[in-house]
Amino acid sequence: MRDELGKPGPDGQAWSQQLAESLNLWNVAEGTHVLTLMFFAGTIWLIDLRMMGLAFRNVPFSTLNNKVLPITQGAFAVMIVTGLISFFGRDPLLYYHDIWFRMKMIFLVLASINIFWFHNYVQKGLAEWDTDPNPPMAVKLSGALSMSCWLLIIILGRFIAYDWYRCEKVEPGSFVYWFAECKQAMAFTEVPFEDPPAESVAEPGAEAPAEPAPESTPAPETSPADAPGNGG
Amino acid sequence: MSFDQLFPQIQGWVSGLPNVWPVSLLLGNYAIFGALHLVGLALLGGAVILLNLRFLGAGLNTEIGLPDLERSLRPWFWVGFAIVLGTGVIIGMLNAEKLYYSPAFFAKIVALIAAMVFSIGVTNAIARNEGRMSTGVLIAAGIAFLIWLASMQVFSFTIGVNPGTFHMVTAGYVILALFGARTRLIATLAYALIFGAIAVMYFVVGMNNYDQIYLTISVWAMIAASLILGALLIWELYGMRGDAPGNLTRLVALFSILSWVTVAAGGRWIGFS
Repeated sequence: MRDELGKPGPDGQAWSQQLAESLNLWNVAEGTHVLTLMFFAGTIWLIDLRMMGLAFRNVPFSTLNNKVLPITQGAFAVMIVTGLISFFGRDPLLYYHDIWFRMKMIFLVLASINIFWFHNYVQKGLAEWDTDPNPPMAVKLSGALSMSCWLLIIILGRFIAYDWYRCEKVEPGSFVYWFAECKQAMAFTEVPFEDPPAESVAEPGAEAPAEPAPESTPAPETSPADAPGNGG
Repeated sequence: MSFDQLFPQIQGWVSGLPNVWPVSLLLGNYAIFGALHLVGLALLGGAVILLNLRFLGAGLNTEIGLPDLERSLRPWFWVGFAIVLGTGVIIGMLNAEKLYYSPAFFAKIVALIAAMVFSIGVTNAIARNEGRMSTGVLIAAGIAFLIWLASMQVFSFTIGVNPGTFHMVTAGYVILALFGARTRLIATLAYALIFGAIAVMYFVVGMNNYDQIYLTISVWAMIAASLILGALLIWELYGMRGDAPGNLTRLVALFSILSWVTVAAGGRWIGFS
């Protein structure tokens, strides 16, 4: 069955490699990551829309926030756990050197800074605008920033499945090559790979030490099902 | 079951879909529409979930009247739905041949019919009617439930797609664990025991272990989890007899959420299977 599915692999690798080669475990984790978007982004956007004065104008912001944010936070915890499993359980180095993944992380940091700004500064004057259907500009700005960040995070996250700008495809010296630290990534492929000596010529004790490079080399054909088929 | 078995005569038409103008102009832009499809899913999901959580007694439950809540969510439901439908038609046409043969896509479309009946014909009607359910709406809910069961049948019995059942089973348990009046504790325990045991099993034997015995154990664990979930739901329903009139609505809300989760899960498992 392993051969039929094109998932060969010796036993006893790191759990990350095991998870990558699992029949369904990675798919289940990544699928849960995508599905939880409904519970996470869907609810945070409704709060953002209230901040922008576009939804729930007759409900005080604090009410909406107190009632809906716990759902958002619970879903976010699931997003983080399944996201980490998806990252470490496929090919962490491939993702680490992926431009879309890096951009996604930048917007994740931006979204966090926005949350920090909102809770520590903007929300201080809550009493003045809590029931206002048309909140002050700073509140609207924070809501718009949050909405845009999560929108981009979803789009960039989806793009990670595509190999357009993987390190082996970009020119040295280009922006992507620098931004994704491709020099470091490509260094793995420059490590000369020694084929294990054939049985007939092998001498006892002359075997090369275990080669660590292959599984960490960017390899698009083993990446999370590229191309159109992955959609839906 | 997939569309090629149901409509074998349209095979030629399906294979020509990517070349139909104006979708043919978008051939190189599949990715952005696939990503926007997820954006629409999130917006639509948020609107659906908030309304249904209200029926389950969570989220915005007393602060805003039911008809008001429905009215506030309606535009975002339709914006999300328009994005999902528009991008779905584009990525569907560009990828027509794969979808034609995909049981996951078939399950998704059947679940979509159920979810649409729930959202447009049932839950919004209940909300507008201050939580009261007319006989017509009850019949529509029953029909939607049966359609959803049919989609679950395809999902659960198709090899390669059936691991995706995990999402619906998990969503069912999460809802029971959060809102179950009498089954909360037992639902949490059952879920933790069954799926915890599977996690421990694969940790011990290796997650990349393809031996049939472990697959069989996983399948039976999923069947057990589904049966227990069904039993717990019946127990909840039994406990509702004579209670407040909104209790049947809670069940409708549960299956409405599960239908949309099935639509989304079907979409994701098109790529995995």
